[in-house]
This record gives sequence, structure tokens and C-alpha cells, in this order.
Amino acid sequence: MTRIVFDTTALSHFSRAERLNSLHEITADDECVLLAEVLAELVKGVAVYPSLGMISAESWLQRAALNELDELAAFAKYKGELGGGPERNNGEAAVLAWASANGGMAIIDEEVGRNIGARDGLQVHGSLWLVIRSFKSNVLDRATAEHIVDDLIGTGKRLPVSNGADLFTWAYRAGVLP
Amino acid sequence: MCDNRTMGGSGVGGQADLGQRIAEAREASGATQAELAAGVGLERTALVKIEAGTRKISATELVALAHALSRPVDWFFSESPTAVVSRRRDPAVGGFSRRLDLALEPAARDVAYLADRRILTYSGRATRKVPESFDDAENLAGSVRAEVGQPAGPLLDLQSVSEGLGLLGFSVALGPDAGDAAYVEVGDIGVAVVNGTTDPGRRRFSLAHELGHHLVGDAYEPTPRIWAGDTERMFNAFAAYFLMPRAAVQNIWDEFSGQSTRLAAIAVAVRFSVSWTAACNQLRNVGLIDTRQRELLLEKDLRRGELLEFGERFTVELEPPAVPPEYARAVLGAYRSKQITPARTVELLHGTVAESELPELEGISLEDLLGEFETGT
Repeated sequence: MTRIVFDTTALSHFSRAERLNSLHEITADDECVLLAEVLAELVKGVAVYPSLGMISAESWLQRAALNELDELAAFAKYKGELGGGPERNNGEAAVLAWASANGGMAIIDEEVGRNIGARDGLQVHGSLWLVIRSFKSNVLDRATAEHIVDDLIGTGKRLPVSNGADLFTWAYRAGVLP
Repeated sequence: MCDNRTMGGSGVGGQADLGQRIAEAREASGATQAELAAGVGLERTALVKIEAGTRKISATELVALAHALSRPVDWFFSESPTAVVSRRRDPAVGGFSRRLDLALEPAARDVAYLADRRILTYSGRATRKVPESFDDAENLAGSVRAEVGQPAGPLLDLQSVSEGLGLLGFSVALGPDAGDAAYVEVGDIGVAVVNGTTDPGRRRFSLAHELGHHLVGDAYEPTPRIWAGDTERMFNAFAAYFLMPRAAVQNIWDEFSGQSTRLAAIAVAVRFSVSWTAACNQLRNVGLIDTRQRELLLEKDLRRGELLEFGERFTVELEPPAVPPEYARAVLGAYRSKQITPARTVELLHGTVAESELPELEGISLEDLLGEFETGT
């Protein structure tokens, strides 16, 4: 079991793609964490994407907040690095802070956040990694996994592939899959 | 008068330290607890407890407080990078405004961050002896002029020249009564904030003055101190000779011989891009006019119409907001290599570009993902 803390973008796109059930399925063996700062960003998006309102009802996403001083100090450091004033990048800073203070895995799709996490030795992965992992561990068949990627792309999510099939073709060719 | 703040040992102290830091920032801002609490949507009693260290604070509340207090969020958990070594101001203005310090601290913090990450790299500087006489100051100015390959004539783009000497000069509009400039050292790098609200000529003079501080390495003094009195006058002399070398002033004087003293003084101000006061002072310093003549010139301010009549363009520099050019390039390099976010890039560039004006970057590639798969399952 891994503790996984999600950034806003990943949850937002799974939700808008109506794939929260799939996300639950592919993380069923993990302890999934939804931070207050991430939820706050999702709530702000409800006016544009009403489906984001559903996320708070997902009981498998355990609510957490940065309560301890070391978590808050890590948050301040990452927030300082990410910038964005009072409104932006708070969720991402909170995710990095939580992972740095508590261990576990951060799911972040923004490259700068990923680079900063990797620089600090945090375990940072993206949405596509989760999908491939679920296929590798036989949680999903290939067709379902490809569909999830297609649906994510359908929400306008910026991914390095144009469809799910391409991801798998690449994964086999690059040796990511055996 | 040194502004040397520390906080509970290294890095994070206790909840009480954090509360104290919030109280410190609030007091510096002049806000009461009630005013600050109302501004961030907290009960006053909650803020009282936060400042006393008896109530925990959420990340969201911390961000709101930082914003309301105009402090970087990480300020509340870290020491100031360094003590302010120099503040320059108009003697007519009573006391130093905290606004200069408040602008200098984040700039120094940014530079320290970028240097730590090797995003900014400047070669170490050779430090010079503190000038102890006007001759020393003039000689120092002359040798530095030679070093930058511009021994004579007007020295334009002072921000760039200073950066070449390891002094990053930022221009920030701080209002008319906030002082002229302040300087700190961050390792070997100097950071100066010039009050961009002051006149263009004055801004250049202020930066040249701080360059003097930078070149002699104030921080190598046993205790950082605020220079005062005679020593400050030496740095003003350095600035004057650095911007207006004696021989170049003499050349202008000769060129306008037979015409009015005022016209020669206008030529000095315009060609060296300095204030009317600085031009008149320098004519006296080099002995071309006496004190009485200087006073007569200064009795009448230089009028805009006189500048137009003179017909040569006064080069405006350090128009706020302004950041040094190589610093800007380094920040954009970090943006391009995705070490910093677009939002942070704009902050580091002091809003000189908008996010929509940043170069468009390629999205993440599959090759970029490979490392993640190798280290994963």
C-alpha cells in the first residue's frame, strides 16, 4: 500500500472525464489523500466544471490538512518557489509539502512541480504513470487503460500522447512495458 | 540601525516563533490586529492566538496573511538573507522609510535563491580599499571605469555596467518619500534597490553610489554598519566621478566656453544623465565654478523647456520596474528549463513581463516521462 497525495490537475481531469471510479479502481490498494488546499482549488472550479463538486463526496479520498509546523514550513518553502500570489499554486505547494513531510507519493502533472519534487528526492509521478502501473499490475486490461487516457485527453488535458493506443505503443517500444 | 533579523535558530522554530514573525510583519505594516484579522477574514481573537503561538494556522490562512502583509510566504519561516549595509536618502527627508527595506529584502531573497540553485552565477569580485579622501574616490572611479572598458565620456546603461561588476540593481517605484536606494550583499553578489519614483538622473546617481559600497565590500567589516557622514560623502564622490569623470566634464566646459555657465551645466546634466544638482556640484568639485556660482545655478531649477531648447536627449534609465538584463536572462533560462513556474518567473522579473508575454514552451514529452517509469514500479 502506498500513500498517494493528489494534486488538483489530476483529480480535476479524472473528474471531468467522469473517470473518478476508474481512479478509485487503479488506486484501490493505496491510501489516497485529498488535501484541504487541493479541495479548495477544485471547489473554485465548480462554477466552470460542475462535476468537480462530486470529488468531495468520494469517501476513498481521505481528507487531510497541513496541520503540523514542519508541514507548514515545507508548504511555505514550496509556495515561495512556485509563486502565484494568494490564489494560485497553493494545492501543488501543499502536495509537495505533504509528501516531503510525510513521505508517500505525489501525483502531479505540472512539469515544474514534478521537477522540484524530483530535485528534493520526493516520489513524484503523473497520471499516465498511474494508468500504466494499473495495467502492469493487472488491475486494468489494455483496452480500458487506453480508454481512460482517451477520456483524459478528451477533457483537454495536455498529455504527451494524442491517444491511449499511442501511449501503449510507446510504452512497449521504450521498454516501460515488457 | 542595522536591520539584522534572525529567527529561533535554524529554519523552523516553534509555533510561538511563527506567531512572533507574523506579529513582527503586522507591526511593520502599521496594521492593528483587528485590521489585519478583518482583512483576511479571521476573528481578531484568532489572530491574537496565532500571534501568541497558541492557535495553529492553516496553509490557506498563512497565504492570506502573507499576501495582506506583502511578505513572501517563506519569509515567516526563514531568516533574512543578510543585513542591509547601506541606505541612501535625501538629507531633506526625515528618517528612512521601511519601504526601501521591504523592497530590498525580497529582492535579496530572490537573488539568494537563484544563486543557491545555480540559476544565477557571477564570478567573485575583487574588493577595493574604502576611499578615505576625495582623491581616493576619484581614483577608484577612474580605475573601475578603465576596468569596464569605458575610461571616458558618458557611462550609459548603468544597470548593465553594474551587473557586470556583480551588483544587481533593481528599480522599484516606492513613492516620493521612501529614500533613494539601499544595498545588501548576498554572498559575493550585491543587490541594490533604487527608488524608481525619484528622478532618472537621481536614480543613476543612487545606483552609482551603491556600486561604490559594493566595490569596497562593506560586508568585510567586522560588523555590518550603516555608513554615515564622511564615508557616505566618499561614496557620493565616487558616484560623481564615476558618472562624470573630470576630463569629460572639462571637455564639455571647453566646448561651451564663451557661452553661459548655465548652458555648460545643462550640457553636463544631459550628456551624463544626472540631476541638475549633481551636474552643478560636479562642476564645482572639479573646480570649474566656485561655490557661489553653484548656488546661483541651483537657485533656479532646470526647466523642461531648457532641456528641449538644448536639443540633446536625456537618456532615461532605471524606469521602474526594472531588473538587470543578465538576471532577467537567467530567470528566463530557468523558466525555459522548467525549474520555475510562469507565475514565479513574472514575480522574479518584478512584473516587467506578463505571463502572456513569456515564451511559449513545449509540453512534456514521452522521453521526459521515462525516468519516472524507471524509478517507479
